[in-house]
Parts: sequence; C-alpha cells; structure tokens
Amino acid sequence: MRRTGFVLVGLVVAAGLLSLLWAPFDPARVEPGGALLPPLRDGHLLGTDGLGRDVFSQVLVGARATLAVGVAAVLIASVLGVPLGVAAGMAGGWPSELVMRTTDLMLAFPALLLALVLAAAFGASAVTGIVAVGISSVPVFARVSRAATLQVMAQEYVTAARACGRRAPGVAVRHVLPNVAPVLLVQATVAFAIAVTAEAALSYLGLGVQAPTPSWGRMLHENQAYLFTNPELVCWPALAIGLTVLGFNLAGDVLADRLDPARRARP
Amino acid sequence: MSPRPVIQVREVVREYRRPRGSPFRPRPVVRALDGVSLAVRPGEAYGIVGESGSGKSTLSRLILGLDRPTSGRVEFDGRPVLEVPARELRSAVQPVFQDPRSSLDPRMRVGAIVAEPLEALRLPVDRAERVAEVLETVRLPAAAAGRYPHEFSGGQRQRIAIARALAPRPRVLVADEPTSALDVGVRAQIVNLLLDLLGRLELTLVLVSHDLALVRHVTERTAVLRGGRLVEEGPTRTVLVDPAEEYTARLIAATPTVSWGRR
Repeated sequence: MRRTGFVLVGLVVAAGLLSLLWAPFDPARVEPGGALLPPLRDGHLLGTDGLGRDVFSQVLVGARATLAVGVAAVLIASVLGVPLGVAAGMAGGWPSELVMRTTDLMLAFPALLLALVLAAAFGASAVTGIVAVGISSVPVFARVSRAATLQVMAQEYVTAARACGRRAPGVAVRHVLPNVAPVLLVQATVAFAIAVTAEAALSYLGLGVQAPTPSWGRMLHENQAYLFTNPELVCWPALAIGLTVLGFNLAGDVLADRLDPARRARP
Repeated sequence: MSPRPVIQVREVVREYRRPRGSPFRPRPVVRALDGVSLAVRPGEAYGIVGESGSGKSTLSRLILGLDRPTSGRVEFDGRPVLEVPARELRSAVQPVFQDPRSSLDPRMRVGAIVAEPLEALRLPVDRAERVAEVLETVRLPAAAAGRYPHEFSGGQRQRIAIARALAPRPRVLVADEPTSALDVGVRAQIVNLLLDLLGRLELTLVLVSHDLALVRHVTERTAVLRGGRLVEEGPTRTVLVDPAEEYTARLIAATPTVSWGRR
C-alpha cells in the first residue's frame, strides 16, 4: 500500500522515458482510413482517435509533456518561493509582513487568468503554461516554507547555533533548510499534482502544449466530440491524469515519513 | 581584593513590546529586567533563581550576547559583550539549554553537532580529534559521533549538548535549567558532571534555575530575581539558607523539598 504512490509515479516516468526510445506508432500520424478503431485492432492497443492516430502512443508520449510541465513549474515555484519564505520566517517583522501580503495578493489572482494573460501577451505555448503554473505556485511555497521556518527558528538548536557563532546565512543552510526540506518535498509533490491538473486544463483550453505534440489535456479536448459514441477515448487521458495526480500525492505522504530520521528509525 | 569579574551586569534594563491589542493604541511595553546589576567572578559557580517570568532567562540571553539590553550593559572581561569580537565571545561563553530534545538539531550527526562551534568560528583545531576529546570528557563513547541525537536518552543528549558547549574551550558556561527537562534519576548524573567539569576545567558557571535545591547544591553565590528586579544577592549559603529578604524566604518555603528520613 505504501508503495502505490511510487509505483504510479514510476509508471508515468517510465512511460515518458520509454516514449523517447520507442512508441508503437507515430502519435501524430493521421490516418483517415483507420479512424475510431476499437482497442486491440490492427496493433492499436487502445484503438485510434477520430483522426486515426494511435491512442496508446499519444498517452505514452503525452507523459513527457506532463512531466516536463510539472518539473519545470515546481522548479520555478520553489526557486522563487523557498528563499522568500525562509528569509521572511528568519527575519520576522516588516519583511515578513511584506512577503506575506504580496503572496496574499498573488493568491487572489487566479492561475488560469494569469495563463490567459501570458498567452495573450506572448502567444499560447508550453512555456507560457509552465511559467503560469510555476508563478501561481510561488505563494504556496513561500507560505509553507515561512511557516516551517518559524517552527525551526523556535527550536533551541538555532539559539545554540547563534551562541556558537553562526550567522543568519549559516543558520539558514545548516539548520533551517535541512529541517524544512521534508515539508517542502511533500509540498513539491502536491504542487506537482496541481501542475499536472493545471497543464491538463490549459491544454484542454488550447493554452498549453500545442499540436502536434501530444498532451493528455489536449487529448481530452480533441476527443470530447466522441464522448457519447466512443467514451473510452476520453477515459484514457483522464485515467492517466488521475493516476498521476494520485501517485504524486501518495508518494508525498510516504516521503514525509521517510525523510525524518527519528521516524526512519522505527520499522 | 577579589579578582576582576568575568561577567559584569550593570544596571541592565530589557523591555519587550507586546503585539498591539488595537491598531490605534501604542504597543504595550513589558519590562523583563529592571535595573539589574551583578558580578560573576572567574572560577565560581553563580546561581540566578526566581519564579517563571522573573527575567532569569532574559538575563541569560543577555549574558550570552544573544540579545541587547534596552539600557545598561553586560560586560565580559571588562568590555561590553556586544563589542567583544564574535570569535572571542562565542568561544568563551557557551550555553547549555534546558531541553536537549530541542537543543540538538535532529538532522545532524552528533559529531557535526559537537563540532559546530569549531566550524562556525573556524577555530584552528583538528575537529575530529577535539570531538572525540570532549565526548570523552562528558563520558560518551567516541562512536557516538556517527549517530543521530534521537538514538540517545535524555541524559545522554544533555551530555552531547554539554560536549558541544565545551568544544571551543569556553571560560564560562551559561546553563539555563539544565536538568529540569530530564528524568529525576538522570538529573544527579548531569549535576555531578557539571560539578566535575567546574573543578577539572576551571570553568565559571552561571546556573539559571528555579530549582533552589540544585542551586544550593552547586553554586557559591546566588542572585534572586523577582519581576525583573534583583531582590537579593550574596553567598548561596546566606541567601538560600538564611535569607535577608522576605521574598526569598517565601520562595524557599514554597519549594517542595525531599526530606531524607523522618522529621
């Protein structure tokens, strides 16, 4: 049960990696003659869509876009958010207030709106999608790392470190970051799951990954016309999205336990 | 005359501002210390006692140079604490905290914890060698260095905390309730270790505690704080056995004592 999350995440990563080397068909190859084939016909494991493209290959290659967006968005969010949050938590006073009120402002701004604005300004692409999802996760990372930092700063080992000559940057690197890391890792997995859904939503709206690169969100969009005649076409990408999100959430919980040396000691 | 004090507290006042109750009123000010003066001589064990809220922990933070007084000053070796170069002060005055569960970073190995003062102050010593040395001083095996704090008992953890404090060869230890988070059975061990260290290493000890029995057992001179003011100061025997002030007498009377045998 505890492995479920890692198995699901592993499957998605494996699918993405495998697709770099091999896929049964070119996911972008249109074959009007072989449209809407049922699963397992003519070597199409999951059948074909309305344009005759192999669904299994699309799901396989679509994992890449999902992973890329997730990793990039989490990187943007943590690189910007964690230093802000840790600095705010360590400094306290007005710098902390400034960071917190700014994140309030950012949280009030819907991620989807940001994506629309960026798409309108720079044109819809995978990059604007990544930036939008990344930026809108910054406040969450800043807040979580500030809260965790406050907890660490209240510990006597921080006072002990100051009393033996550590300055703020040393305290941050030696004591705050290592002790905040597990919380952030869990936050990263949650943010990853959110990024996956956001990417799917943006691609569904045509604001994310652009054709012909396959993406689960766009598959949802393209296949919704066949919702009543061939409902399984929508099910495959939806299942992929759902299991990926579930996988990252479950893996985050387990990681939180494993990274704590005190908890790791117990069986 | 008596030698120059190693720690001298002169007319120290420390005020804290509480959070505003209302945005239209000024923030209320709390006076944690109100004109406290005392002197700790080199090599002595000096007790600071008082109820919770009497300002004793604030005073220990000021002596460690972790906080600034609102007015007055704390001197180390005749110079204001805040003007002593960090490297000198931090290696000379070391803290021992109340709760070794909180004072040891759970993510660091014991070796790294004990070596932290040496590393942070960039002291020119062989760290591994010095770590093994101080671990032996507090009677822990050298192998402890490779393990994490949670693998040790409360008493052993307090030994680790003391080893860290000893690592930079300090002249003064400031111990704030060093036994009150420990199991009763372990307290005596830690107290005896401290006493042993005082004699062997010619340390000065500032012992902050509400445990009068402990202070009576360990220290030579004692100051009594109440509500941020110094009530009484002098030889421990006089202050805690035959107090001149009524408050001290009440403090002593209010302390439950263990009676050895029948009365």
